[in-house]
Amino acid sequence: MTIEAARKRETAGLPVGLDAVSVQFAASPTPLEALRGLTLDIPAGSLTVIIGPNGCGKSTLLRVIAGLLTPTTGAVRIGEGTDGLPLAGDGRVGLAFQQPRLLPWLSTLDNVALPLTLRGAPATDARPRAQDALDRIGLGNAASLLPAHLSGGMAQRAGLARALITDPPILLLDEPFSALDALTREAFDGELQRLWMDRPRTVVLVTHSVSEAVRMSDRIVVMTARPGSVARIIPVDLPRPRPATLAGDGAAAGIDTATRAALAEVHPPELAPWLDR
Amino acid sequence: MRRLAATLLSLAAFLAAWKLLTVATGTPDYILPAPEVVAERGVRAIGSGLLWEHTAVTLTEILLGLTAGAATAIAVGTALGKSVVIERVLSPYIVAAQSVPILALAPLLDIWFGGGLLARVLICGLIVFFPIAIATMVGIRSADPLLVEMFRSLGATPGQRTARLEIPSALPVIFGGLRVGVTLAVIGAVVAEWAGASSGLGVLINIADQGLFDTPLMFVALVTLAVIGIGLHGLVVSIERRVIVQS
Amino acid sequence: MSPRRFTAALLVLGLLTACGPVETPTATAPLRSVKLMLGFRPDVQFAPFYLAQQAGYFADAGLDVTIEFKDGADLMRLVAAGQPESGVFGVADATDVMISRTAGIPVTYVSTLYERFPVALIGPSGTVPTDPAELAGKRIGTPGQFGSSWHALLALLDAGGLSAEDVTIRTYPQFNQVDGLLRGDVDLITGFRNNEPLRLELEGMAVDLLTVDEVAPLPGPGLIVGDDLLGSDPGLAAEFARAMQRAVAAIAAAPEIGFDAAAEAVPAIGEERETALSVLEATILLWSTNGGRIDQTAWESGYETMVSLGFIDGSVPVGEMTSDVAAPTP
Repeated sequence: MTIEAARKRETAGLPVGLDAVSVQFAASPTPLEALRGLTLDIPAGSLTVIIGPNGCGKSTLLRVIAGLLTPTTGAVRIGEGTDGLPLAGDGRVGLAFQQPRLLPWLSTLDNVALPLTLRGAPATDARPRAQDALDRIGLGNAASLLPAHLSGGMAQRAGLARALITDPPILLLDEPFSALDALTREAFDGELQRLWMDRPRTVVLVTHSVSEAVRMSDRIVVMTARPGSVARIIPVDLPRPRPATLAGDGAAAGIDTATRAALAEVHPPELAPWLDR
Repeated sequence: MRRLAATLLSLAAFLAAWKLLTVATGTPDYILPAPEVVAERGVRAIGSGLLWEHTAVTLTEILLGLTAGAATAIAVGTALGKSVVIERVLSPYIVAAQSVPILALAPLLDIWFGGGLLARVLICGLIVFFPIAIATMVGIRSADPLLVEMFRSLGATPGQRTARLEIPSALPVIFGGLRVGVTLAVIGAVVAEWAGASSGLGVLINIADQGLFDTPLMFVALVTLAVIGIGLHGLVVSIERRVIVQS
Repeated sequence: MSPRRFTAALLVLGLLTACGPVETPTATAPLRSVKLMLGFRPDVQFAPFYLAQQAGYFADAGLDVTIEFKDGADLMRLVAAGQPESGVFGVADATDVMISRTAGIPVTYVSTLYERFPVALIGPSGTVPTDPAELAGKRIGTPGQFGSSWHALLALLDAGGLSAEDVTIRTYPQFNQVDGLLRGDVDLITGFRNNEPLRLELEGMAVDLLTVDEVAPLPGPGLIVGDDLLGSDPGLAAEFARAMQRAVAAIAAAPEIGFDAAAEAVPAIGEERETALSVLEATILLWSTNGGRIDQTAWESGYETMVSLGFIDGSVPVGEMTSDVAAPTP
C-alpha cells in the first residue's frame, strides 16, 4: 500500500464515544426513557452493527450521534479533542434512513447535491460533485430523473449517495436496506462493504437482520430492550471481503448463533417466537 | 385535440339543453332568453364596444385583487402554518371576517377606501384571501416529517426549511386554494362593483337588468363573467402543471 | 195544549233559533285573488293600497289583494308573466314601462297614480339652479344608471343642453345619496319630492328643488298589468284601478285615515307618526286628482324625450304602452 493510500485509510474515519448516555423524551403520563446509561466506544474506521429488540432505542442512538438529539445525561464525542460534540449538518456525519427521503420535486442530481447547496455551495460547484457521487454508486444515468421515477432500490442508493457526498468521516445507516427485497439487499450490502473497504470511514449500521450483521460488521453490538443500553458486544473476525452468503462457514455460523442467543436474552419474553425475521 | 373536441361537444350539449328548456317551458325572452338571442345580443354588445368597456374594468379588478389577495394569503398562511401561537391569535379574526357576508361589508369598505379602484381591489382581495390562506397553512403543515428530519440532519436553517421544503411541499395544496380563489375573484369583483362602481360587468348586469330591462344583455354579462372564470382557472391549472414537478 | 205537544213546539222553536238567521240563497260571490307588486319596501306612500284592503274597497270590487315587494326589474317581469288565472298587478314608473315595452316585456299602464313626476334634483337652499344649463360641472349623487331618477336627471341635463359627461356623477347603489349630500361629497342629489327633502330638513338642511315639470315633463308612476290579463279580463283591471283611485281620493280628503291604514299594516310606520304624516301629505300633492286618467300629452312628450336621450329606440309606439280601459267615466 502506498503512503498516500495508507494516509487516506487513516483519516477516512473518526472515532465515536458514548459515555453513560441517557435519553428521555417528555411524554405523558410518564416520560419515555429511550436510552439509559449507554456506554460504547466505536473505533475510527470500523464497521459496527447495532442490533436489538424493537423499541430498544437503536434509532435514538443514531440520532444522538448525528447531533439530532441531545442526551439528557451523559456525553457524546466525535473524534478527539474538545470540538467533539456532534453538530447536525457540519459535514462530519452522513445519515441514511430506512426510506430514501428524497425531495419529490427535485431531480435525483439536485437531491444528492442538497447537503452542499444547503451549506451555500453554488449549483455549478455542487452538481458536478453530485454527478460524481451518482456515478460512483452506479446511478450516473439517473441524474435527471425525478424520485418518483426511480425504483425503490435506486432511490435508496440515491439517499446513500447524498449521505456520502460530503465525504463524511462517520456514516450512520438506519436499516438502510430493510425495505428492499432480500436479493437486492444482499447486493447492496456487498456494494456498501466495497465502498467502505475502499474508503474506511467509521460506519454504524442499525439492522434487524442477524445475517446482515454477521455479513457486514467488525463487531455486533446487541442492545437491551427499552430503556436501551449495551447488552453484549460480539466481535466478528471473519476475513474480508465477505461473500453474500456465509452458509457453510463454521465461524460465521458460530457468530450467528451467539448473536441470536444474545438477542433471545434481551427480547421481552412475549416476542421470543418472532425472533428472526 | 381530443380534449378540444370533448369540450366543444359538452358545450354544444349544454347549449342544446338550454334551448330545449326555453322551448319546453315556453319562458319568454325577458325571463330566460334562448341561447341564440343571447348570442345575437352579445355580438351587438361586442361590436358597439360596450362589452369590452365593462370587461376591461372588471378584468383589472380581478387581476389586481387576485395578485394582492393571493400574495397576502400565502404570506399569512405560511405564518399561520409555522406558528401555532399565531394561528391561535389570528384565526378568530380571519374566520369572523370570512363569516360576515361580504355583500354587507362591501358598501362600508367602499366608503372607507374612497370608492374607487382601490376599494374594489381590496374587496376582491378580501374574498380571495381566506381559501388561499387556509390552503397555504394546511400545505405548510403537511410537509412530510420524515423530510423535515432529513433537512435537520443536514443542518438546514429555519429559513431554508420554509423556502426549500415547506413551501414546495405545500404547492399542490396552495394551487388547490388558488383554483378556488380564482373563481371567487370573479364573484368578488362583481360584489365590489355592486357596492358603488359606475362601470364593470357587475354594473352592466345591473344596468341591463334594472335600467334597460334587457335580459339578453344581462345574460351576455353573465356569460362573459363565466368565460373569465373558466379562463383564469385554466391558466392556474396550466401554471400548476409547469410548477408542480410531481404532477 | 198538552205538555207533550208544548215540549215538541219548544224543541222545534229551539232548533229554528239555533240555526241562526237564514241566509238569502244569493250569497256574496267568492273574491278573486290577485297579487299587487310594489317596489322597494313597505312605506306610508302605499297607504291607498292598505286602505283599500282594510276599508273593503278591493272587496267591493270583488278582489282579494295580496301585496308583495319586489325589485324593479323583477316587478316588471312578474307582472308581465302573471298568468290570467292568478292576476298580477304592479305599480311602476312610466319611464320604466316605456323601456320595458320596447325591450319586449308586455306590460301596459292602465291608471295614473302620480300625476306629477315624483323625482327632482335636490340641493341646499340657494345653490340649486333654476336653469338646467347651470348644472354643468356639478357633482350629482344618484342611485345608479337605472330608474326614473336616472331618466329625470338625464332629461334635466338634456334640457340644459348638457349630457352626463358635463357633470360628475356619483352612484349610491344603497339609495343613501342623502348621506352624500349631507357630507358634502356631492352638490346635488336626485330624490323623491315626498321623501328626501323631508329627511334633509330633519337633518337641519334647508333645500331647494329643481323639477322636470316645466323643463322636461315626464309621466309619473302608475298601475300596470300584463297584456295577457288585460286582454282576457279588462274588467278586472278597471275594477282594481277604481278601487285604488277611491282610496286615493279618500286619503287626499283625510290624510289621517291613510296613515292609520298604513300603520295598521306596517307597525313600523306607526312608530314615526309625525314623519310618516309629513311624507303622506307631501305624497298626496303628487297624486292623481282626476281618478287616474292618463295624460296622453305628458306621455307623448315624455316618450319623445326618452327617444332623444336614447333610452328607447321608438320601435314600439307610445299608444301601445297605455290603455284607457280603466279610465274614469266622465
